[in-house]
Amino acid sequence: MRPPDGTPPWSRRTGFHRLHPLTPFLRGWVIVAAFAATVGRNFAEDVTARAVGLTLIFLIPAAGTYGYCAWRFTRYRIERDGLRLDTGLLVRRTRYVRLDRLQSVDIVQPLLARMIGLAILRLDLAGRERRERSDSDGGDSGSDLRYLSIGHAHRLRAELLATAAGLAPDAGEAPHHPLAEVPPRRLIAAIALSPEPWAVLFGAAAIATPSLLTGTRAGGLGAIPLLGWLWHTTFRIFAAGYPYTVSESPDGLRIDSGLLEHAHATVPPGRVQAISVGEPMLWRPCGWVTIRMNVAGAGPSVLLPVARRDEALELIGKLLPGVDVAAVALTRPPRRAALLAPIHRRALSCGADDVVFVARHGLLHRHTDLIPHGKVQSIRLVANPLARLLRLADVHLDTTGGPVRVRAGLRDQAEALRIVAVQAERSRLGRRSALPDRWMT
Amino acid sequence: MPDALLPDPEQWRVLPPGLRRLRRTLLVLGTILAVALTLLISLSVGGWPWVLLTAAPLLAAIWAWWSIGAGWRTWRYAEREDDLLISRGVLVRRLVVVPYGRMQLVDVTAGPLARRFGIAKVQLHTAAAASDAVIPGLPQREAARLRDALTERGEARSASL
Repeated sequence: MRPPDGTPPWSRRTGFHRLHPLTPFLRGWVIVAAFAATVGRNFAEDVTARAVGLTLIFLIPAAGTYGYCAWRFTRYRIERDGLRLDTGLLVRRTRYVRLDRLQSVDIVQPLLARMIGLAILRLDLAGRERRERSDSDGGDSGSDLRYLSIGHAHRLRAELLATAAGLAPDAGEAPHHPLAEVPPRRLIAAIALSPEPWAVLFGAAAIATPSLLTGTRAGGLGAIPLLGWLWHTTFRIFAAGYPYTVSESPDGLRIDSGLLEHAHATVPPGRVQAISVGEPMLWRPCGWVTIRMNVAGAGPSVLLPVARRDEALELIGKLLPGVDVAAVALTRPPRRAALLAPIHRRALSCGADDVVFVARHGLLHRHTDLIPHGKVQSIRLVANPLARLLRLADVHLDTTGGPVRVRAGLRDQAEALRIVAVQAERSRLGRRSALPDRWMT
Repeated sequence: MPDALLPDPEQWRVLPPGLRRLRRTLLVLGTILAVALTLLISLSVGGWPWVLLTAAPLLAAIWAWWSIGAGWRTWRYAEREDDLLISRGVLVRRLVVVPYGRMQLVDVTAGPLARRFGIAKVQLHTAAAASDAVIPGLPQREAARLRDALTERGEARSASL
């Protein structure tokens, strides 16, 4: 790596870098806050200025020392095909992140970090969720570099992606051109047309009205948590969805989003495991859809919060070349499935073409789930007793964790078996034609 | 009765009788304990009619005895050229197909009691948490063979995510 300006001689000699020196302050206040909360709970009855002062006298140097040492002992280096990350004060840990297994690279800027120009660089690997579950020491910082200055984070991301693609590390940031954006007006309209804020609003009104009518104030307090929820279902969705740009580059898909907290995610080509197109009932007259996706690891799960249907289909065609969702022939379950699903049988259907398997479900909120044949992890056929009585079965095509689950519901048993057999064969062929790990070579 | 939910007669392999024996041994031990406890409690609480309460654990044990047998009978697996098939379930039937190239790791576990019965459990993991491919008991030698065969084929057909 070309050392950035002002690199200390230590770094030039070993190739190791440290995180931004302001890191301990950003991380340290979390510790202070946690301690303060604990202390506050314990001494809630007899808080004296002296107790607080004593605690702070011990706490601030302790937190400061810990923060400084943690910073001092954290270092990283880009090696030939990976990133080496050393952490740990007492228990030293060296983590080696293999770049050919990279699932996504994100730059995240929480509000506080953004105000002082810092960012988190997050590297996501496959199978990370499982490791995190077995790790007791909180794996959230596992492959995160927090914090770097924003410029350095961008440079490092470009370098990591170039290395992962099989190019020279100093190839620079790849050019990218935008594919889709979310206009703010449409986002606002979409939020207004989604049921959650209204449900919360009515709930709050239902709680607050009786107490306001009778003049007791205490009852009205019950509505306050609901108002918090209202903020959560409206403004937070807006702040996460505007501005929102999806662009394409040789490094893969880029998603830049966030009003207050910035997030820049990069998903390398061929890392999208499954896609779901959601159509809430109220959006259908406007022709809007929302697209979610599965990326292995803890990558982004929303592809586009709200888009026109033709835009969405075009974007999907770019992500999964040769896919035309509208052209895939879908078939409904047999008529007798109506005994188990009297209303939503009409909404269930599935079908496949050469590249993807498509399953559709949901009457009010219609979901169209897609999974490329090469991304199927395992195939399951499940038949519960009632379904067996009617000679029906469900077929699940399993994919990595995420919001999308592909399931062909209530198929005829013989057809379900045929789907399993055909899908196993397609997946075998699909894997063979998959992209190499280093997509530029 | 021919099973409508099994694919073509492949080389289906069944589980060893040792597994059923192990589970039923555990069941018998558990039942004896449960019956003894029920007897003790019912006698200390009331008179002789309360002894009828012991019927509950006995009935449960009979049902469990049957379901162990049925579960053991329906659980089978087949190694095909490119994937492993596992079929199981008495009430809810399941069929799982795991391509070798998708396996991330293969676990073979055997507890102390299972070892006495010469049994080991084989579990396959893929990148999907839902995959759920388990063979609950195999003779230890067969388990080791299967593990080696699976990892070898997995390497040969390995594909990135």
